[in-house]
Amino acid sequence: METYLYFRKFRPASFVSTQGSATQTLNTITGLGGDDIDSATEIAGLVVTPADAANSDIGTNYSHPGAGADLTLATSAINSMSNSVLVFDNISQASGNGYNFEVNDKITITFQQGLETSFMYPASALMGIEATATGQTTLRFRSLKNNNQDDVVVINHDNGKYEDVVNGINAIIHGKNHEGVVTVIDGSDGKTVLSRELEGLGIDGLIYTPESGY
Amino acid sequence: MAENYLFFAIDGNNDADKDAIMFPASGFKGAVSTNSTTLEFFFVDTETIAENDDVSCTISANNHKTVCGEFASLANGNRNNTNNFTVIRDLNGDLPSNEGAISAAGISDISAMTITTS
Repeated sequence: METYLYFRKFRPASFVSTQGSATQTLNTITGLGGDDIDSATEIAGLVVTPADAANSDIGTNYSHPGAGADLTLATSAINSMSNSVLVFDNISQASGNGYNFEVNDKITITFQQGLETSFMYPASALMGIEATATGQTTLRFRSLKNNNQDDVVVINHDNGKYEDVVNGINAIIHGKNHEGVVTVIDGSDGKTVLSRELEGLGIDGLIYTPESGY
Repeated sequence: MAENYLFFAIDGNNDADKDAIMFPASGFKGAVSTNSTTLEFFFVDTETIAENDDVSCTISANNHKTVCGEFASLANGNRNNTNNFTVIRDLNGDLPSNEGAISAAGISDISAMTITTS
């Protein structure tokens, strides 16, 4: 019987950016376990809470909610999402769904499954586990796409825990505590769910690098 | 243990290129989310000449983990003395006539599929 290893990246349930100036660039999203957000597919929703009621530079599809009230923004007006920084269209870029942010506006981002946020490999695809840095262990799998490179999964953990991580992965694969799929690491919604074999190792990061994007 | 064979079929007559496909479970390479409603399964290229083949499945929003679990259960469902023909999803709603005892209707949360072969 094959064991299937399921992983999901560390992501908060939500993130609030309070604008320090009138800029379309939001603050860098934190709490990501070392793996940046580079795809808008991870953004489930955007809500702006205006600092005041005077802003008239909002898209024609919106009605100003007033100071301190919430307004849901269209995710279609996300201009870019790179290195965990979201940039939203202003009204010149999107007259209907754009929104010019002002100082002290609060924008709440909620997250969802997106490009490469979760993945599953059969244990038989595991090629090796190596200590790549202090407090960091790297798992290499045969690639999904078969382009002659490996898919790489990096786990961040407490210093000196490499051997424990290896033992834990080995126990998951060969143990009889699981059937079918095993959630090895799931860091979604601001919570950390670990397979019991990996508990107590200070795992707080998961970085996924497939050989090529999907 | 006998090999398990995994069957996918889109909604159609299943008689044209990429209407349906079957892989041995041992050819499964893994799966990855590509957006909130899409999960892509990869298999060893059936022609062994290029990139792996894949089946991109449309599912309910954020339900990837559940679908992965159901896939794992089906893929591990092989038994001796059966034909081990396992339907992962048949959107025709018409199971193959030689369906074995372990075959099921498939993963109900998969509502659409795109089959890509090299």
